[in-house]
Amino acid sequence: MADNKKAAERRRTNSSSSSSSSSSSSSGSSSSGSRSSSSSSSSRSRSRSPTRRREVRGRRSRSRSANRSPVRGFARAERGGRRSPSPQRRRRSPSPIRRRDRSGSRGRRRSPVAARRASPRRSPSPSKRVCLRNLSKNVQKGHIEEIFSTYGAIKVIDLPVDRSHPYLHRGVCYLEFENLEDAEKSIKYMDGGQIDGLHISVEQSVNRSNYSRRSPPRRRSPIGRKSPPGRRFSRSPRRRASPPGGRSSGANSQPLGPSRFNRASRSRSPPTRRGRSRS
Amino acid sequence: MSNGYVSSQVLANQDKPLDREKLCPMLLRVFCANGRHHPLSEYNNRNGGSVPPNELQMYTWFDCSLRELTSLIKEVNPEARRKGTTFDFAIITPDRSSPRFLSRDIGNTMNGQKGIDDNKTLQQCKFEAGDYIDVAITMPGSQRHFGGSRGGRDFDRRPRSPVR
Repeated sequence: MADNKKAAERRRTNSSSSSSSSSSSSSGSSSSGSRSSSSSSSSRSRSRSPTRRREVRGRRSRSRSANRSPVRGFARAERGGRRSPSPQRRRRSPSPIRRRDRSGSRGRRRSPVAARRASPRRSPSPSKRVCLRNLSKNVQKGHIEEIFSTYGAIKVIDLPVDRSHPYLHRGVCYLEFENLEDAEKSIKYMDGGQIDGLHISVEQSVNRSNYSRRSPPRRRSPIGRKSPPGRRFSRSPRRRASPPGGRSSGANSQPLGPSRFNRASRSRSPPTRRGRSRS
Repeated sequence: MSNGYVSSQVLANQDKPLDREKLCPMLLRVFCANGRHHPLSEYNNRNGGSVPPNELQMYTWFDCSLRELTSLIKEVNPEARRKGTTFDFAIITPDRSSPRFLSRDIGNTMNGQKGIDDNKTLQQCKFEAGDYIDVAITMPGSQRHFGGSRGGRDFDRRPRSPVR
């Protein structure tokens, strides 16, 4: 890993020195947001693994902290404050260190970007999407729009429908606001609030990939053949029954053999009672 | 199903006090019919999630008792105020695994007479917000006859006074 790091660093210094004229000039004038974004894209293409990048960052900070730790600390703590110190430093630093410094400033600039990119996964702060839970069936899209548009413009309202009741929803809603602050505001004000006599929860929505990741387990259940016996209610037993009889819908609706008993146990009246008690 | 035993058991495990000052009411959609419950086919998903036509919307809380519901219905339904009118309550809830709705009888009340179900609350009946309430209002003179789809049961399970 040390070799890796070294190699990465070397590569970076090389690349930065090769593109030194442009990068130094632009960073010398100001390390603006647009610039950092461009560097982020380049960094993404250059080094793939985030772990390595992070380690490089950590190591560099250690090496540099010998020089000027306080400024660094500031730059670390608040992203906004990072900009003013960097030109200063450049002015102060003599040329041999400069190259390292330049690469370092790149690395540092990259690091907040990396953090920003990684954070939706780790900490649920910067997302415009919020997720509402525990909505009653009386609540409709219009209600949600009315309630939540007080916090800002809403881009998307996603109210997934119940699978077997297409005119009802599942009690979950995904909202996307135009602005991040509005999403945060809605969470601040509406989490734990009441709609239609129920306490709803408003939270940062995990990003889309996470949301879709929730469905595979359902699909996977027939594969996990000897899946938990406690999940009598799930679809897996029915699927299990269908392959011998052919997978047609007719086979599903009229299962053969012992599966019929399974079905009977799962049949009309008990599920409601169970379902009711579950919630 | 909803005789005295069941209600008492349910009552044992659900005694959450509910602050009506703090908790906002929920919308309760009540469908009344005379002498019968609505057939379940009137609650369906097909044409826009249709429901029976005569809908009563009320705002109430989960700890609303059947007696309270009865009085709310009587407020808007003058002919139901007669003494001896019986109200049979059922919860209509969407089935989780099929596109149908299910009905559960939760009890009945009668004007001018105390009954065992009077103080039953929606909470105790496992009412969920968004479920419907179907009420069969039976006038004192008329016969209580319910749709066969409900499963023919004996509806005189409750002791009634001979006076009508």
